[in-house]
Amino acid sequence: MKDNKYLGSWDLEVNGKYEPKVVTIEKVYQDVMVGEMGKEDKVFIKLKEFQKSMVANRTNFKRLETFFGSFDFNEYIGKEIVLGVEKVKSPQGVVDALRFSTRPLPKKEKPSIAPDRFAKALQAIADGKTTAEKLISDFNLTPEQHAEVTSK
Amino acid sequence: MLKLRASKCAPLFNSGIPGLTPNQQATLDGLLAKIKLTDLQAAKRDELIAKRDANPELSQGAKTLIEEIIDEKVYQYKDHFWSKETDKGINVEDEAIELYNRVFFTSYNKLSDNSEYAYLNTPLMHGHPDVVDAERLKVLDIKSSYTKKTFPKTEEKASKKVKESGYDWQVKAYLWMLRQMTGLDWRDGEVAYMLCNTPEELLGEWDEPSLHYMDDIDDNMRATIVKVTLTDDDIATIESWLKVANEYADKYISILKTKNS
Repeated sequence: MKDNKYLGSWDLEVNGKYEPKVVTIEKVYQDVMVGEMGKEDKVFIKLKEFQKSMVANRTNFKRLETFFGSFDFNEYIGKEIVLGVEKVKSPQGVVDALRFSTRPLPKKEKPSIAPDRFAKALQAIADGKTTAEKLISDFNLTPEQHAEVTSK
Repeated sequence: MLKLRASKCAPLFNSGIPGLTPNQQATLDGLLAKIKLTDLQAAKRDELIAKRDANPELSQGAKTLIEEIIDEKVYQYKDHFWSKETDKGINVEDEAIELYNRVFFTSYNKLSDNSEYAYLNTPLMHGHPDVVDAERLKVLDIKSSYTKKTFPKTEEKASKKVKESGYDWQVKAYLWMLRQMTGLDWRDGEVAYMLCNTPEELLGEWDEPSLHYMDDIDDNMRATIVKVTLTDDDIATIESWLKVANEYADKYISILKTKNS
């Protein structure tokens, strides 16, 4: 499906799972879509992160309007939003569809561990409840914490 | 034979031990072994004997539970319960376990279908626990609250909710089954209330977003834990009521099958 002319849920698939992605809106434009129903006038959205354009529907425009607080699509250009896949009802039954998220952009940084909790983390490693690798992958450790964890 | 789902068993076990508790039995044995009793001791003995010999009476909730299971079996149908809350629970299960891991520094995973503990199956009960820690003989049941408002924010509130919903018996049932299946002394359980984002696809246009978006809250505030312990009294309660429930199920099946004969 990834060779489809338009952007679809399959383009967010990573190792058999859909992964939401932060995307940047590059352009919103009108064009003709040639599909099973013949030729149709549609609005498309070009995202910086993908070559193909996405066919925009009413639900996604409402989401953009909510997220950016404006119905003027010129205001969306160059801005970031999360694009994900949701299950939606359609005449073909429940299908996977691309949907913009109205939620804040995810924090780029992993959480840190406060000094008082770090002792618990070390104890958890000592007790075999977790591993140093898991701690390093889940948290943003200070250089000192990193050194202490890896020395265990 | 009646087979109960752990997630629905609470109405059967909520009434406490039918007959005598192990402590009461010991008291009665002591009194019966004495040659001479005071008036007070004799009254206590009579009271305990009456309690021991009384026919245990199932609560209305327990009878309804048994009848519903038998109805499905005898009339051959399945009735799946669905709600937006359970839908969310299923959808965010992995995320809730990951959040638990971050808060408590553990490395748990949701049990995969081929894990030996993914489906606990004994002749009288069955069920699917969320997390089984075979090293520490511990069971976790993860409850993902639907909104920030319904999330129990303190242990006290969560404990109340656990009791009201019967989740304590659900976890105890898992522990009891694990004892049966492994022969080991499983006693420790937890009900973990976790606060995860509600997937947007489950929300309607008019749902208030701030109730369902949780990433703005610190991880440590997004978990409330209730400890559950399987005691000797609980084991006696489970085993006694399962026997009574099976007798009632047999009677009920007979009523269904012979009602017009």
